[in-house]
Amino acid sequence: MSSTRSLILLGVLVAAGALLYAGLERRDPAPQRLLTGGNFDLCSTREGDDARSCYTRETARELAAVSDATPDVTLAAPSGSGEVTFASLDTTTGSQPLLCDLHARVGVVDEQVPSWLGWTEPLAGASPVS
Amino acid sequence: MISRLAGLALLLLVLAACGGADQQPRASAPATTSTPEATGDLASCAGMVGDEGRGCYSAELAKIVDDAKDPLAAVEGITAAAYADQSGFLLANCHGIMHTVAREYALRTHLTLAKLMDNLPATNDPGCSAGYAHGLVTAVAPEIEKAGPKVANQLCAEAETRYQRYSCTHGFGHAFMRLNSDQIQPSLQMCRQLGSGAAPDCSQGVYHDYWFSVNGIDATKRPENPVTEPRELCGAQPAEFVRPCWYRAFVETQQGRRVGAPEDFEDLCGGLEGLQRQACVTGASVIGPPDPRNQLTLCSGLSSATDVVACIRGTKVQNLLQYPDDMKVDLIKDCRQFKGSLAATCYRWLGKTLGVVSDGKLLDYGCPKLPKGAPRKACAAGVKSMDGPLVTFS
Repeated sequence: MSSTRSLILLGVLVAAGALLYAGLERRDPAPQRLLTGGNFDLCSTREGDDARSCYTRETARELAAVSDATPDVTLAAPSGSGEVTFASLDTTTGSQPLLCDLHARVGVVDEQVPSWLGWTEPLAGASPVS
Repeated sequence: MISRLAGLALLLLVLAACGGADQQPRASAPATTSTPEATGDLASCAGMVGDEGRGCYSAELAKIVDDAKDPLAAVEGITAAAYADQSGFLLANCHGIMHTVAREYALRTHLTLAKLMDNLPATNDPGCSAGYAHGLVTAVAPEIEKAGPKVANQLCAEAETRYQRYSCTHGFGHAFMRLNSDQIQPSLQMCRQLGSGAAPDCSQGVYHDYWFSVNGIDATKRPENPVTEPRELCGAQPAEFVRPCWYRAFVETQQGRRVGAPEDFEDLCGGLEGLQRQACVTGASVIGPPDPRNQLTLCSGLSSATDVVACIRGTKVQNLLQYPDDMKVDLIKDCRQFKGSLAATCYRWLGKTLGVVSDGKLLDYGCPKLPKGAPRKACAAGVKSMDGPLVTFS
């Protein structure tokens, strides 16, 4: 093999290696995501309730990673008091923040943290009996 | 041979330098939200606020929904997680974000009117899920126009619950705005063609989309000279749409402001008269306390009876959607703080709106728990009227 051919062959090998490296570098980032948050690949082929619970879990993990620095909120009213609260730390009991799209926007004051998370609104007083 | 080898080497180097075909946008990615960088990783949006944050979430959520075998399950799962998230950014912005995600999904998958109902979320959630529904409806706007108002009304009538039927009609308002380049008047004319039973709730979507366009959200075009002063905007609207106009206007223009005292109503609505004042007071009530029981207490402090009634119309019963039924009953029981006809009005209005969010079940679990006589009758009458136009509701 002539030195010219050897040189070109070496060039081909270097280029192929570079291409292989570039491909590896762009592989699915899922393993990295696993370390930092959720992995939606786990949900993408599922259907129905199975998919729903999967997306809930993985989205929660992602959001937890996003808001890692956000302090927890403790605004839950005493249980059984019948009082309305604006957020709850316990998301397993089905209690949810008092929000809807329209009113959620009303509460946004600094675009990142809605005001109801830090706002201690006095609860409604006892209503007069008619 | 040498030249072939050299050519191959050159080709490989170019491919390596450019990243090969991997740099092409994924076939599933919508053109305007799912940028090539979107990987379905919400963590990449950490620290972003405002338009940047919304854009990032839109792209990432679009990728997540696009990749899902069951997109509706994905939306519902995301919704549940958004409610549970303590930071609240996604939930606060989810409705608008999902408008975009759904509209682009529908366009990419060539969603048809015939298949629309199969793709609408079957939940009463007014946040992410309703935004997704409105986005889908917006995408099939041209088909809705071709099908005509009768078919459009039939389509919404197929929805399972009253809230979903409302949401469908609201979605038409968005759709009509897109058909009319976000011009309010021709869109309202299309709402009118749906009939008086649907027109006011359709107009709520029209005004919602108007503020989208003013703020440049969801691929809308900003008007050349947008009217952003509610008095000017709503003062120029036809009478039947004045209440929806004000209801939406304060939400979009008074961000961060909270009405907490009777004098705040005067500050916002002073100098207005008649329908304009009533509609303004309702809108001001909506930006009152998030707890609807506290809203009612605030309303009871207003001196004028017409102001009290208008204030009650702004009660945010939707904020109790996720809470036990007992809390909804406690709310309507609070109507006892009003006297005479004002109390009856309160029982009736809350009967109607709580009827919507409970899909009529308040009639069984709530109204019988009210005092016998006028309160119970007014509550029942309200529930029975829930299929009529809601006007001041969203």
